[in-house]
Amino acid sequence: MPDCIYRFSTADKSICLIEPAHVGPCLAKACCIALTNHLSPQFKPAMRGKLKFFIQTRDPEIAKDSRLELLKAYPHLNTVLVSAFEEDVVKLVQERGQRIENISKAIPFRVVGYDLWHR
Amino acid sequence: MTYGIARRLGVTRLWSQGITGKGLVVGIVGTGIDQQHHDLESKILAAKDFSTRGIEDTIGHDTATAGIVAGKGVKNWRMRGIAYEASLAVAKVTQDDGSAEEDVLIDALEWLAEQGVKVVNFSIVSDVVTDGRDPVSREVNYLVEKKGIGVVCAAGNYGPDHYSVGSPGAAESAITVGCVNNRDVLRLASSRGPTLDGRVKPDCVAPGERILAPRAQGTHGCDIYSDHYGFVDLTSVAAPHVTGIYALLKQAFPKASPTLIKRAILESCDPAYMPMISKIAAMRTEFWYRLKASLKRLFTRKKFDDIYSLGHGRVNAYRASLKLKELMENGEGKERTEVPHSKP
Repeated sequence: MPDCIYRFSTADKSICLIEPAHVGPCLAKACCIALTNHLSPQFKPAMRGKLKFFIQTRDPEIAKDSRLELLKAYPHLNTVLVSAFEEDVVKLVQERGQRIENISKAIPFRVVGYDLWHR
Repeated sequence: MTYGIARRLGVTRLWSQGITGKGLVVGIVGTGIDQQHHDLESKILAAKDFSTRGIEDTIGHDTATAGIVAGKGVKNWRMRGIAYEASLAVAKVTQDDGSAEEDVLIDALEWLAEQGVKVVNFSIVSDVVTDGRDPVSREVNYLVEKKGIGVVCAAGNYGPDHYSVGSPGAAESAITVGCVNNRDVLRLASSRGPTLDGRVKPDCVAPGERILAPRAQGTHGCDIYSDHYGFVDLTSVAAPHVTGIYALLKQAFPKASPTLIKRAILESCDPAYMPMISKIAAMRTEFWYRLKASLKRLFTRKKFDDIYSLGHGRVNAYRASLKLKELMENGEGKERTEVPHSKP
């Protein structure tokens, strides 16, 4: 079962999807997510809609799950990009988590120091 | 980039040996490029727009980084890029607001690999701290380890806190670059390690204060110097210095692997320095915490701050070439080598 998952919150800290109280241990354990520093106001907390997730797995059956809409596959990374409701992803992890190496919600990238570049 | 910085980084000594990046293709991932800029025109071998906004650079960010890597310095030779005879392959990934999505970045990196690039400059980052297991970091590792392409990443401008290096700077195989000022003192905004799994990042630092670089037409995101140039700052423009140096080393030693080039660059760094104010600013505001932390850092953990902020130090191209020559002569390039001290 993956340790945790990327998720943005309105606070300055991201939380784990599977175990919200796991933030501290996450940092200590150095798992896939812990704190964000400058959460951009452009990026809202999770909405009631489908979101993009990257799922790292060697099991091809995972991507065929009916709750997931396969968007792209990256065979060289053993990763698929899917669109799904967050709660469905939680259920998937609970049911078949042992076959999943890592899940991350698609994270935004920005020009470094964009504010400086767009005055 | 000015001649003074090239001399400070030891680049001019490589130029005098005829090492100028000729024959190499450098990949640029970012905001596009001003193809009409006199320092960049005819350098662009391939360009692809992954953003559906057109390849033109409406922000100016990566016209500047491309110029620092490979600008020709047509009107003033003192404004040449580091590898001024290298060619460019440009992938535009950002929307008009400067943001990009992970799947687009992975596609862009795959496309650049198909164009035959030897090194990629990656000056956009996520502000989410990772342990290098996110998809873009893994793609970066894949390019380096499986395809032999070097990837140089900006550390980000989220300092002075520790644990502020995002993706793909957290990728183990990337060369992650922080920034220093003109006296080799770390800039406060430069992101700092370690990564979430405790590795040293940034790997090294490079100049990132008032760097003179090409300015895309119609953009004003810099301190304007002239119609075609502007002063730019921070880690976005520090990374292309290292990208250019990587290209020079690759030209000089075509058989050197990305891991070996990284090792040569890191093991030959010059000293860089921490500003005192940086140490204070990095502390939490609570009084007792601050007192405890300052005592701890002063007496026991000074190294923590230094190595996770400056990495191995400020890059020096000439010393890196000597180091790489030594490593190649010792036959180190024949087998996979680990970068020393990559783990604390």
